[in-house]
Amino acid sequence: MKIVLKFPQKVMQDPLLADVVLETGVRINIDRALVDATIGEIVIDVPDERVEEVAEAFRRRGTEVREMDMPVVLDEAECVQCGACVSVCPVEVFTYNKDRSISIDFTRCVLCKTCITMCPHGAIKTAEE
Amino acid sequence: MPKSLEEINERIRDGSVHVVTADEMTHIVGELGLESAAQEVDVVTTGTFGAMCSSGVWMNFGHSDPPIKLSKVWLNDVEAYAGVAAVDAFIGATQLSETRGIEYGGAHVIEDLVAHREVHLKAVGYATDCYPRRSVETTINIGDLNEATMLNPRNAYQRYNVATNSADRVFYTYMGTLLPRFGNATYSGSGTLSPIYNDPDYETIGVGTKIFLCGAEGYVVGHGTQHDPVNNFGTLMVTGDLKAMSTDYLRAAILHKYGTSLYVGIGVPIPVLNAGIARKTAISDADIRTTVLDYGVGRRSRPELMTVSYEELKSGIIDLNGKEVRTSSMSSFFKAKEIATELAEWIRKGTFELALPTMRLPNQAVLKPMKQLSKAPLVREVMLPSITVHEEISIQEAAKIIVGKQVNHLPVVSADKKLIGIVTAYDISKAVALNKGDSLKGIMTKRVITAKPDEPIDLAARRLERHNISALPVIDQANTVVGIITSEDLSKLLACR
Ligand code: SF4
Ligand code: SF4
Repeated sequence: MKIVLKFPQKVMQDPLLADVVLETGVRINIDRALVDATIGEIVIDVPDERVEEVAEAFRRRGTEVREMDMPVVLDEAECVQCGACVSVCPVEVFTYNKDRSISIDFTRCVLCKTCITMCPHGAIKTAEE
Repeated sequence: MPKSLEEINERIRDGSVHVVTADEMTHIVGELGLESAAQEVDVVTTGTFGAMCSSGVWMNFGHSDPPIKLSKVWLNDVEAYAGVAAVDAFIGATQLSETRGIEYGGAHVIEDLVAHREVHLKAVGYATDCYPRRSVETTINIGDLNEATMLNPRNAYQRYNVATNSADRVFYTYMGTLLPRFGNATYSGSGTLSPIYNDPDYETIGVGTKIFLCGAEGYVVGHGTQHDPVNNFGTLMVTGDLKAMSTDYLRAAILHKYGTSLYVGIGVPIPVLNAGIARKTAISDADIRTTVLDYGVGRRSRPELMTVSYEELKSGIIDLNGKEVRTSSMSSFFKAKEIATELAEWIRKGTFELALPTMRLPNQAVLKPMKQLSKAPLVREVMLPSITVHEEISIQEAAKIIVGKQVNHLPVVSADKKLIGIVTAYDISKAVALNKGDSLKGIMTKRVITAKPDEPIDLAARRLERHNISALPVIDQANTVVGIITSEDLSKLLACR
């Protein structure tokens, strides 16, 4: 499961991720990291059964933790099932079905946003939008 | 035994007509053989649904009181062409909004009209005795228009080239986002369902052929612009009543960093008059081949990399000289099939009869490139000789050369004369000011953006602009510096064209 970590400025200096990995022994995958002067935001992928434990370890260190359920969403009314999105997604979220309609599994999404600009019909949006 | 069109229409009227879609026909011919298939099947329906930039709508707004002769008109800030009489105008799919740019264009106005949304109209004119008014502003919807007639100069391309990108940056094109280093390939066209590929000799598709156009009944006006039947790039000019169309089969699109386009849905019925036509409608994805072009090269003649069939394209991966490249379709085969199926349904229900063309389309036309009075100059013709320096010289020596020769850029070369870096007057003065050692190697930019002698200067100019730099060393195949081209010289040249 993917979770979003938000670090306040004061804890950004600490090697938080390393500490949590050492403490929990969970192998964490970093999907995306965005750090600037005021805030740090990291999306990590954690095995489902260890999510609570990892989240707790981050919270104790002053990090805001929230579950990232669907990073991007599809507006079905706008989608024309072309598949322009299929070849640009690095994690193969989109696949063609036998009848050439499109299957979508957003749970693998790493939010690179390439499909959002590729889609000619504006059918894909980030969940925040 | 050949059938006449009248016999087929008779079957449509009495409900006994046998209609199949073009992909089904491929299997039917395979199973029954040509003769029986031609006997069995009366009509084959085709379909396509994709970005068709060369599309637009003629509108008549009716007269205001006092009347105005429109000289310029905008719909939701998208300009329509008004140089025809007083209140007629043509809105084209790719015209962009003057306020929203690429986010909204003529295609969106057309979709908004079809969706019965209100559209803001603004127009100006010059006053005459019979048309005294100078400007008008109002909102309209499709019902307020006297006529809204779609007229698309070039639609239903028989097939299309496949786009990929060899360059090491992303290209944003009308074929979508092309990832660097052959990261993906995009294609368009409906393969086995392609209208023209199912009648490649234009035996039944011609002037006046009745078609499905965006959910309404439409007609083929004639061959489309850039019609190139000899090379299997035939096109159609089509028309239909926008008021009867549906957004199920007509959609505005935005191609990122390129512009707007209109996804148009077209279905063409092909009467199976004889075994020859049956054979042509049996065409499969595997039979239709097209060429993979490298869009990473910005010339009219893009390098041809290989040819592939639609079957390979649809498999999702093509083998591009040993590299597996993932493919995407820009057009929707799913929708194309929906259109062919819907048209088949209209025919079965008896609401759509077929018409033979009143005139055949040309099948020999030759496509000409644009006539350019002057050929675009090549880098080789305008580059200047470049002074290069050896990597081992000191910063002081380099500074002397820059001052003495009055240049701003010094390409740095290795002992065997290969380009390995570049320094600018600014790099040197910074190094001197900060007292930063004395080796040129330490301060040069190693990743040099370059030009090639045989590319047009427009490409070099675009590269300078994109990287926000002011000079490009020109290198040959062996990476030896053969000249230099600067933005200063280029802008002088481009300005006088
Ligand atoms: S590119 Fe957009 S419209 Fe096409 S299949 Fe993907 S989501 Fe749908
Ligand atoms: S945002 Fe990136 S990873 Fe997510 S679905 Fe789109 S292309 Fe795939």
